[in-house]
Amino acid sequence: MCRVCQLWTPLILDDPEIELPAEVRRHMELCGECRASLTVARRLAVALRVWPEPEPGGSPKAIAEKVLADRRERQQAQMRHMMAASLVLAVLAWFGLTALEEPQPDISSYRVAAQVTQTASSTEVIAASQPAISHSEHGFTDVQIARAQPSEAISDSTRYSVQELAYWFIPDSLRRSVEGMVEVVSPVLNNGTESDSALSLGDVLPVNWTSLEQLWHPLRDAGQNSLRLFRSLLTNVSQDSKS
Amino acid sequence: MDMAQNTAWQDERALVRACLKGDPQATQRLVARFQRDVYAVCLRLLGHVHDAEDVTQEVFLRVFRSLHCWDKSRPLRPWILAIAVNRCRTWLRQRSWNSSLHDGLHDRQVRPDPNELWELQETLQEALGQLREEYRLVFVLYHDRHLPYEEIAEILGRPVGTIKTWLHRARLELIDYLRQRGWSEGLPTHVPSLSTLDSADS
Repeated sequence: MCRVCQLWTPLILDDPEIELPAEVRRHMELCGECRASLTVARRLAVALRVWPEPEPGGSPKAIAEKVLADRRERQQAQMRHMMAASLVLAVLAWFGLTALEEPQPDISSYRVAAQVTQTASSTEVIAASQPAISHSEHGFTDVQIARAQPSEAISDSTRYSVQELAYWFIPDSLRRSVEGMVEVVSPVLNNGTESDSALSLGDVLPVNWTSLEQLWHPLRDAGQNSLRLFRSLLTNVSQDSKS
Repeated sequence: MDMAQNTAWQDERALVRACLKGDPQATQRLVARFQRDVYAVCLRLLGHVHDAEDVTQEVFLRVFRSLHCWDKSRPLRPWILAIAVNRCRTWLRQRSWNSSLHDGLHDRQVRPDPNELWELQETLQEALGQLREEYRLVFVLYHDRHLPYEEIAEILGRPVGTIKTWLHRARLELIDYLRQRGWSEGLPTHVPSLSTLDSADS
């Protein structure tokens, strides 16, 4: 097909009755290929004019029903996914909140006493290597002691004073209230008499501190309570070891 | 934009809002408004009645699934037809054109055209099947759906110049194909002349 016909044949499709210029008509008389192409173009234009409008098979109502059913199905699936996600989040949140509410103590730092040495001035406790607390429900109040292993080697680093062990085993609130006093008065408890302690505390205590009794009794009670608790724990441990 | 077009857009937006709320009547109205266009494009591109019906249904499912993504500042028809074109392309990739064309011919023989032009139209449909996919798309959207170049460009996501080029090439290839099939050999008796058609139209 020549360039002239290439230009004119598509135009015939837009307007089948378009008037061809004289030079195109003359060219067509001479060129059989272009004549055939223009004839086909005219026929194609006719065919396109009578190209029937296809009638859709399904009714709009049937398609709309399928669309609505699809939407319902997707919404239900979405709901199921959301419920599953909520459940997972709730479980995670529950575990997370529980963990935040009850921070677990560092169990490995607590040791059972394997040997206790009582002297005139102090009580020395040698701790075993096995962790003392295997489970704790509410801080330090419910303490369960694991069995000691006497055969295990004892080193200096595992020696703790009774005050230190008592310090660990007394409840957290009580510990906070007396820890400052224990720190100040512990030399007096271990080494001196009441009069000595009055002397040694003279620099620390205020001038109007008239009687050490006011300090001594609550401190002694706390110390005795802690010691009592500690001894009961030791008893349980030794009984467990024997059994 | 003229007033009629503006009103049509407002109407479309209201229809889409109602559809998004799940109104069954609005859903049906939207399907009815575009079903003919979608089905025609599917049938012309796929050449198979059953495939066209299946794809039309699939197109509307996809349209309603992503209706919330439709850009309200643009007309709805090109957006829907773009989905239809994409679905047809996917469908065509999944099966070979020739095998389904054979089935399509059988479909048509079951329903012959009352004007006995069906042979001419069959040849035209067959010729369309020989065109490159892009050329076929442009030819169908222009000559069958009578869409302007700008709308076709929007549907296919190509510049208007490209659309014009593709249409021109599609026409030349079709003419060439039909010439080789003997369309230039003399008018078949059942093909009406232009004057006959004009008188029938009037």
